[in-house]
Amino acid sequence: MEQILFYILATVTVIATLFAITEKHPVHAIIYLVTSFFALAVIFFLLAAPLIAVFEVIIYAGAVMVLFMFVIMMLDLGNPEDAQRPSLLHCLPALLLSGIIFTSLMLLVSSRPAALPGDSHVVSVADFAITLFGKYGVAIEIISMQLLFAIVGVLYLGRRRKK
Amino acid sequence: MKTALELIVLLPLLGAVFNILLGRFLPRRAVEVTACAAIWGSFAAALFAAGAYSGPTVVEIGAWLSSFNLKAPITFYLDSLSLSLCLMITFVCGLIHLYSIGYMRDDPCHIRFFALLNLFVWAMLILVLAENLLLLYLGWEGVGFCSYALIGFWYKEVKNATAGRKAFIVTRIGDIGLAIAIVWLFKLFETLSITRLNQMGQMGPPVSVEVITALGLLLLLGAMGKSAQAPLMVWLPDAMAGPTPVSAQIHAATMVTAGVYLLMRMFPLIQISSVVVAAIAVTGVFTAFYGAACAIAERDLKRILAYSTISQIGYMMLAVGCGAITAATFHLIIHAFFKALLFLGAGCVITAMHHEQDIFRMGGLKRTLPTVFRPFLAGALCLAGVPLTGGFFSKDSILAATWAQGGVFYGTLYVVGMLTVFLTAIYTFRMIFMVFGDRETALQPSRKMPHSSLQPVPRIMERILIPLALLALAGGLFNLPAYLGSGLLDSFLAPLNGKGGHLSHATELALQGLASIVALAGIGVAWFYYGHRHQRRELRLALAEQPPTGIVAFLQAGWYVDNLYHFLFIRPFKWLSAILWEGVDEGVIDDSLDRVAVQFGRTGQFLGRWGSGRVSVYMLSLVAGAALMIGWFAWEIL
Amino acid sequence: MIVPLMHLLIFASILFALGLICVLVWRANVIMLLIGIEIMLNSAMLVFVAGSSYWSMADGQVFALMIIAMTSAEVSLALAMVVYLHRRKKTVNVDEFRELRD
Repeated sequence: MEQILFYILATVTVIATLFAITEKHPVHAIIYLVTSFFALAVIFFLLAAPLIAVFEVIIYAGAVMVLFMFVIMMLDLGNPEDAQRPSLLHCLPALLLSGIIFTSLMLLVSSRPAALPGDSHVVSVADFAITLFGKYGVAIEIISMQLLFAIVGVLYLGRRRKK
Repeated sequence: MKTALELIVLLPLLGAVFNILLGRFLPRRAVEVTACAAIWGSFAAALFAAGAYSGPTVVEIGAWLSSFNLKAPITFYLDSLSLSLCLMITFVCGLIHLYSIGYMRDDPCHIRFFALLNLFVWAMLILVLAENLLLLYLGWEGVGFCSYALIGFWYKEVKNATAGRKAFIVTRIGDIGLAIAIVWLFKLFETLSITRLNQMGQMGPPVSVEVITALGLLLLLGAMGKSAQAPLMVWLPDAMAGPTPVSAQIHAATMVTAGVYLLMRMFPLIQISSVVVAAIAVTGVFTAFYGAACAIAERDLKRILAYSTISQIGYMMLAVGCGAITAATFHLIIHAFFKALLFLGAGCVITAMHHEQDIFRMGGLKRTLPTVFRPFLAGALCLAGVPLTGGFFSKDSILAATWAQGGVFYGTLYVVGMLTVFLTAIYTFRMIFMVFGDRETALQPSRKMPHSSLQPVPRIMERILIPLALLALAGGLFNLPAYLGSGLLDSFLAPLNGKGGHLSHATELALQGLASIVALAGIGVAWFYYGHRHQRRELRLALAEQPPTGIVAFLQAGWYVDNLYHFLFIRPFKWLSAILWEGVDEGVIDDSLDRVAVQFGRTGQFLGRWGSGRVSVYMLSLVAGAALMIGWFAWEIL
Repeated sequence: MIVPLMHLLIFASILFALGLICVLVWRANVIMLLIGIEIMLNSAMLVFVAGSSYWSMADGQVFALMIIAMTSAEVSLALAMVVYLHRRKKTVNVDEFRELRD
């Protein structure tokens, strides 16, 4: 049951991402991306990481993408219908390089002997919390400082200058 | 004997070294006296050696080169040929040294001059006395170098330096032949000793006749270069750019005879091949004819004598080519006397005429320079082969030897030789009449002689001419022909002669009579065209003002051989060297580095454009690099 | 595990490749650039979560959380810069901003 679900969601994610990257209209692209993130979040849920799924939706799809939307609206980038899609010649190096990387990754991954799975117990939220605050307590502090830096930077960049 | 030989050779060398090292600190007279004393001391030693002579001897002085089986010690070989030549060389060169004291009176570079003259005599004596071919080659090269240095003595003028270079380069071509022959001889026979090589020759051909022919032709090439035979004779007329004593010493008496000497020395070996002997004879007679033909049209006094030298040495080669070593040596010695005399006399004339050398601008010197005229006339009589002079007997012995060989080939050579006698008489007396004869018109002032008075000639220069004149005239006594008594030289040098025919006394007398008639006829023709109080002479003088045409131009330009060589060799050489210089040296070697540098610069610029500041390019590069790395890992897996 | 790990890895690689394509095709437009980066980061998160599920350890999920936090900080700064630059040159073409090179 979960398997089928997973595959459907995987397809949805890929298709949505595909549309996202080939859209001329930036707002449409963002919407497609949000769709893809939603599907991804459900996959996370299926992989016994409910907290991550929630955080993905709230922070990623909710805050970050909305931020993107804000900026796009604010910038007033002109009429999106007039924008040109990049030509095939332009796309060629992209396709080539990503193809190389994809195949190499696949080869590298498939050549390794399969790793042994751990004991098959489901990771609970409690486990997650204990690991996060116990083992990675320092990391949390650093991350919070990083967020502080981000705030300071944004405030500085966005201040109104007296003309 | 050993000390005598050592002294003969060492005294000129010591004189040269002494002058080079200490000449600056000594007064001029001391330098001159040292130089002359060295040569006269050498002559005294040669007389002593002659007195103590009892047959061919080999004297080893010391070791020189010795490695593996190549042994070239300093060994001297004294036989009749080398002894006579030593005496002649030291005597004539001694006289010339005394003459040079007067001639170079005003020259500031007297030390260099006398040192080089001494060095030259040393090299020539080494050449003549050498017993092995390497020592001979040392002397050979030594005279080549000294002649180069002496011809270009007044090197500050380009013309003189070029003449010296030309002499050196043309004789070099001959020297290559000699060097190849020496190496080949060593490879074939394992020895370079002349006595042993000649012994092998006398015992019968040790290798095939073709090899001996090749060797002989190489030696002939060497002789052609040094003795200015055709086709390597182009350097001698230009070599007259040197001082007149140099012309006398080097180009009359000694160096130019080195080639003939080489062939005479190696004759027992090369006579095995009749091709070589015939080639020598043909070279000799052709050169004799060439020299005489060019001298008839020549206007410069010293160049006439230069062509005359070429011609007379041709006669000596002809004699060697007929196997008559005696006749060749006889003519060599007599020629040394009268040619040195003529050159020294010409030096006196030129000094008197303020260095004017064109005979068409001279005249009337019989009355104004009588002390020069009389010896000069003696020399000219010898050169022309007037009966009863030394020159007559020597030249005639050569022609007699040619006739004695018999056959059509040698008969033709005889006819050409006779024709050359005719031409010789003409040009000699043309020279005499033009220089010494009276002129109807007054002496034409030339740019070199602004006033018609003569410069006084130093006394010593005139006095030296006298002993030479006496020796030249009386030289016939050295080797009287068979019907008048036994020849001194004949018996002295007889063992060296090759196979030759014998003439009866009657034939010899008839031949001599024929030669005399021809010579006197030549004098008559010269008188007809150039004698004074003839209109033809005035016609000739008038014609001389205009540039030469036709056959006169051809003869005056030396049959255009210089132009031919320029076209055949010098132009392609210059073309090739221009290519190598601009094309290879600058283009390939220099420019290749430049081009590499420029390419580096361009590559750097091209790569520099990568850092254009555009993020899109950087992005691509980033991903490309990542793809490269990951791709390489994946490749390793495959 | 609901699916074999390999499948998850293939899926994540496809997403990564798509993100890469977006970055390289839209390399001039700064907004699409950022979107491509987002997609790539998401695929990395997927791998971490898959690993955490496979080995039944929470560390993968912890790092996925870190990624989320870091991304938000980065995106906010990036967009602030985009706004700032747009104020200066009225364009989102990233190639126009070359003054640093000179």
